[in-house]
Amino acid sequence: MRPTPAANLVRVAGVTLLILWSLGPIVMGVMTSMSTQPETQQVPARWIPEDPTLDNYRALLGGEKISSDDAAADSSQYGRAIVNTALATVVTTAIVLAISVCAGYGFSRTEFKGSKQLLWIVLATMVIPIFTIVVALYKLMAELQLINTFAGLVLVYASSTAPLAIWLFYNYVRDLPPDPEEAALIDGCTRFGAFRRVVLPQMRSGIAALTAIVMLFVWGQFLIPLLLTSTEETKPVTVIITEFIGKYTTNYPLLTAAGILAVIPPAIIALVLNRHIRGMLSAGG
Amino acid sequence: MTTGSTSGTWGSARRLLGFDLTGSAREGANLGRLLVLPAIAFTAVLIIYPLIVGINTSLHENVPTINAPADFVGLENYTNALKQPSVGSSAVQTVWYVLLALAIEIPAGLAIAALLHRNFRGRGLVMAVLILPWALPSVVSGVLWRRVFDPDSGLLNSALVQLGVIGEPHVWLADKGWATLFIVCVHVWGMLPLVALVFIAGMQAIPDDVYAASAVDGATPWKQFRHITLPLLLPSLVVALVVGTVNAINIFDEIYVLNGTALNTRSILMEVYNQTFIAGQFAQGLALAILVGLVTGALAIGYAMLLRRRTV
Amino acid sequence: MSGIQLERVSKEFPNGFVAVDGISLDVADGEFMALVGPSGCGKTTTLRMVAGLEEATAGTIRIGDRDVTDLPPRKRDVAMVFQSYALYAHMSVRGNIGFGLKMAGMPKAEIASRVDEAASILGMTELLDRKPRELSGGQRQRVAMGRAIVRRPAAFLMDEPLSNLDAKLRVEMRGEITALQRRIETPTLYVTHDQTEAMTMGDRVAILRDGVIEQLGTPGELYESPANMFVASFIGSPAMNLINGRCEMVDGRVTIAIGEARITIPDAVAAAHSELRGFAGREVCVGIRPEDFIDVADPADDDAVDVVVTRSESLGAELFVYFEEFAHARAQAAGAAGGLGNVGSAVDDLEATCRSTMVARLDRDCEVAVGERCRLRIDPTRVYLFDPETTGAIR
Repeated sequence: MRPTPAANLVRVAGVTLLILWSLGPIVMGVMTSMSTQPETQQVPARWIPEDPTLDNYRALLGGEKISSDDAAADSSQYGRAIVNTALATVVTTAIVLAISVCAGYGFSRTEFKGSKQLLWIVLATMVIPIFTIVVALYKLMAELQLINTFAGLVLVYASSTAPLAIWLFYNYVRDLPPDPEEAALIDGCTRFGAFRRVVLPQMRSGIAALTAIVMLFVWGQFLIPLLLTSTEETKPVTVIITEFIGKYTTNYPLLTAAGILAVIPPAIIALVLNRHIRGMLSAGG
Repeated sequence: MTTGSTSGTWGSARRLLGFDLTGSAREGANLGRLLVLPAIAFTAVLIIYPLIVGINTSLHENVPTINAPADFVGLENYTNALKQPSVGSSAVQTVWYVLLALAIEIPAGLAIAALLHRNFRGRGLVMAVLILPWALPSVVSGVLWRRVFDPDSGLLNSALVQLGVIGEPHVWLADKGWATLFIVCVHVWGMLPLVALVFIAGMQAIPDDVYAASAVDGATPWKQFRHITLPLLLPSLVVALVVGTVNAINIFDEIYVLNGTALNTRSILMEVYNQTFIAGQFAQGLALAILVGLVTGALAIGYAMLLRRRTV
Repeated sequence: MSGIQLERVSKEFPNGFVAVDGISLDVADGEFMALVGPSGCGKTTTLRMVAGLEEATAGTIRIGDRDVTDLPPRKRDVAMVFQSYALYAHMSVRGNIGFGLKMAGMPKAEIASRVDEAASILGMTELLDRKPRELSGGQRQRVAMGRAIVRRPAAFLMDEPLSNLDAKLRVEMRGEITALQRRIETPTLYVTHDQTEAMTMGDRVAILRDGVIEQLGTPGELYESPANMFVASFIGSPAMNLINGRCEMVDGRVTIAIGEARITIPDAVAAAHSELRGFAGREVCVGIRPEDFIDVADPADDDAVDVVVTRSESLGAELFVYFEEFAHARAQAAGAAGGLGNVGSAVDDLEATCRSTMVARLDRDCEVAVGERCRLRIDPTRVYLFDPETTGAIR
């Protein structure tokens, strides 16, 4: 069936609209971040900076001081926050990946007494609001001396991300053909040997997708660190940005630059691995 | 036949006692237990145990420090929580968030899926752009949209004033209705990609032959959509509803960034946050959070049952 | 090494479904045994139990005189070719073929020479360094075969290995696989749903239905003397025509009445079927293979039936003529409610036999016209008779 000219027009219009909707705020954000504060306060509003500047980025990353604000004091804070977020993301992702790849495979390919019930318990925890467990977690962390520590934060991130990751990977493995694993068993592998030598390589693209999705989730965490972190050594960039909002309410260029810097890593992950991510997210149904 | 059925009974008996695993199956079971152990341990220590402690705390009198002894008060915290006017208003507000979010996400998600589920030149690129808003931290989404709604120099006000739609700048976020709509807009910006992906996957699972056959039978594109795509998309619709509902109930970041904890846009989780961490009412906050969890779970189960009834 | 033995092997799934119900099978050393049957008959489950991928819930499995019932697949010394080929996507062809040997701890040099040998047998030496995704379907199939033969196992197991190939390649590979199997003389269990494949490849063929072996024999035995109506209609293409008739004794000779037509069974044939006399005056089910209609007969000929041709297909060398039952039988069936319906329900899982359309394969020179009545002569020595109550062959 060849699309009619009218159908083509609808498609072109629709796609254009979709791209504007998806990229518009980001492009506007980039523009704002390269404007000066006076520019953004003009009425009517100025959308495109007259003389694009990277000063806000410099200020945030520990460069020059912005005259109108006391941003320099915060610049080291921002850089530190980005590093905190990146570290927490990498470590949490490693933990969640190890847990959920093993569990996702275990739940979908092996059977033992109670395996189905255990799976459902793990999955049911996805609907629990963080607030129901956060008070007790705080208590637990206090007992373990993990309050305001990187380790404590990573553990909570991992426990709140793992159920979803297990669910995604469980679905992924379920849709994977079991034949190569069976061939490996016949070719002389133990179950573990087949898992290591054949199934793990077979799951490469799923592992890549899961890595990306977990990283995106952890990178954007806000509520958990808002509740559990109170020192500069642990606060992630999302928390710092909301603090900036309180301090520089109308300094849109600085705020937006802080936002744009924080979206660069997730945007790269999403663009580079988008095919894998899409595959795994849509298999979740 | 007789041998078959006796051996069947014998087989079930052996299975029941766990004696019938051949080397391979036993290996599989052992490997399975080993592989899920970390996940179970994690869930038990970091979710189930705190949840039990949380439930227990919610049934006791509120005390200023978490380790102090407290009296058992039954469901008092629950009834007290529900009596608070701010709980009622934030619950209603959350219902609005959910309804508005779904009202936009479902039709828009379907439209995007209809637009993108078939291949065309440049589709890969469009798909990559599509998921971008979902990938960004919701805090940053809020930041990116903030300038749009700024009352003084906001892009929305400027555009509307210039077009002559409104006479003078409007303080959008102070107006409950508009603020709600804009918060939903930012929320949908981040969620729509996921909903669209669910629908795209659902549409791609419908074989092309079905469309070809109906086209031969004289169905118009609209009739095809109405009579083929929509019914076959029901499972995807349920998934989209679950995803959309659970995420909208848990809305927090976008509101926090755009309008703080202001009462006019406060969501239920924000109310929990306020009670627990601002007012220090741990027990009452926990009671409320548990109620939210129960409602979320009930909705998810309800959707699942809807699907089962419609497909059987 | 001496073959594969299954002794009253059963498989009941946890949901209570009995996929395999006490199957006994003895594949001799070097024998090619085809397992064939409609989907869901338990043939693949049987194969997977032999491989160790499913556990048998009852019975004993022996491979090369070793009881392997409770052994994991790796200790059974079997090789298997999967329908999907199940190649290791991340390994080269060389890696795929040599994987089993590597797992067995064979020295590298020996693996290399064994892989090279297998590759040259299969004519794919130049493909050894490719990855599976760079191969065509036929080439992948060869890699799967190579992976099996290189191990020199005690038994070969093949699960519909040809069903993902196109028709031409499938026929080609049939010959290649049988030739290969003859050459290496390894007992082989070959699962297929395609009776042509089973008949052309198997030294013996086991026909399964509902987890039970309906008949086991050489292709010739299955064709010549099917044990029951199911086997009769399953083997042969187009399928055997089955129709209700009546066994009568006329002048001391066994005669089969189909409608008004009378087929006199030759005395020698009748004598060979000792049970036949017991059916005198009773309903029987008559099976006539399409190829046993000899030709168009004169109106005066005996052993002939009148039919109204509804369709004819010329394949060049032969002519297929379709008709709705026998002209007279139809009139009778209207009175004796049921008629062919009974026959159909006895073998209900075979669509082919449920139809009331019958087919004859005639010489290409025969002159028939669609819509016209014509008289077809039947070879009376080749009429199959079944008991309509048990569906078993009348011996």
